[in-house]
Amino acid sequence: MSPATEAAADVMTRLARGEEAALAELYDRLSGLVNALALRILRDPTEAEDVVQEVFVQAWRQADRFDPSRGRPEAWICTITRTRALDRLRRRVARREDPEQEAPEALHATGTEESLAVRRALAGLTERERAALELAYYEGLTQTEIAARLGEPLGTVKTRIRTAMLRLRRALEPLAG
Amino acid sequence: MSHEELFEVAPLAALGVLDPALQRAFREHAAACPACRRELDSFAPALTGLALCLPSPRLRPGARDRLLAGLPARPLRPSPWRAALPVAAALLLALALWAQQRAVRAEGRSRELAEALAAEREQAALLGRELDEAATVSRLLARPEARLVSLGGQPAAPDAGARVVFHPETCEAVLLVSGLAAAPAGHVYEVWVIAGPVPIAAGTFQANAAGEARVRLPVLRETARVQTFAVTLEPAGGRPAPSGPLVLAGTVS
Repeated sequence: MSPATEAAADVMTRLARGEEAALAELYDRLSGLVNALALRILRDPTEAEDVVQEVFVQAWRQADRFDPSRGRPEAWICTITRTRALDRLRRRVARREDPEQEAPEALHATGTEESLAVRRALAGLTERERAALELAYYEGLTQTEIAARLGEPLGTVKTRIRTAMLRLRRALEPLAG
Repeated sequence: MSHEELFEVAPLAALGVLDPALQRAFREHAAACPACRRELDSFAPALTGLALCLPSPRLRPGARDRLLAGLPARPLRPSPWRAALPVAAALLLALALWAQQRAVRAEGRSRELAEALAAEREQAALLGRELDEAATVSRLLARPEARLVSLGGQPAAPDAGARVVFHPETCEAVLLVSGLAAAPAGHVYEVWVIAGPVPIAAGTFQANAAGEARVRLPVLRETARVQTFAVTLEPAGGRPAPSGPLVLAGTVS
């Protein structure tokens, strides 16, 4: 286990014991990531900030549900964030509100090896593969909804998403550790 | 749908794009299929990557302080299979209370009854813990992937024997001991999970008057690749590394 992974696992152990300092540490490390994802999904900075608060309160309450054998804390936090942000997005769609504010100017896209690998892999996808993947991940549409949105047969959409996911997985494999 | 067909759609399931009935079918299948679960988990870095590659605008100052100032009290969160225990304990307590109240009215021996009530409470708590551990054992044994390791008594405790039931993926484990004398005063038995050069402490316990113990071990990642389970005699409170005599040991075949 790398020292960084070990430190991350340690934060989660302390969080599960109810140490507020561990939550502060987790927040310092991951609030940017949570905000970025919530903002990309909701395109509304105020709502994104609400999601950030909700995500860390949920992490505080449910830290004992984190299972290190199934992934890193980042993955767990991202799943919570995506679920919460997509819930809000769906409620908004149901109310037919759509502020569609433009996200504020991209300040600093992180330049970690991992994010660069993802960006390279995304750049290597066809435009249609990327579009299908983005509708799935950032808008939470089902495969049938994506097919309707893109005007493509369901089978084609499934293949595109599958190809995109396999490429992303392969691009990140060398960094796993 | 067959395992092969479901395995094939794991990347779509990871994204959550399958239509609801299929998503549910995948989830139910994966709960019992380690290969599909592993395949599903293998896409976690890709999903996280899709968030990590986004530009990250600065949060408004004060958000962190607001979060920390407004933290709710942490609820104690028992595992789902323990959900029935509070009910059982509450029933026992209610029964005890009812009996006590009747007795108080009838005889007025309040001090004696308070003691009896405390004993009942202790008994209920003990029963709760035992139920809890028994539930873990039976749940573990029901899983086809669960593994069983025998631990033999060592020269320090030749009559002792034990078994560990553990799940190599969820890393849950329970130790069942028999024939082990009570630890001498100021000492406890300590469990070790050995998966590499450094044994990992996995809790302390005492044997009961019958020489038995049932101990639920903490969920440790090392359990996934454990080679040996061992028990040593250590000073009260346990030690971070084994220092006392070895009493039980068993190697995973």
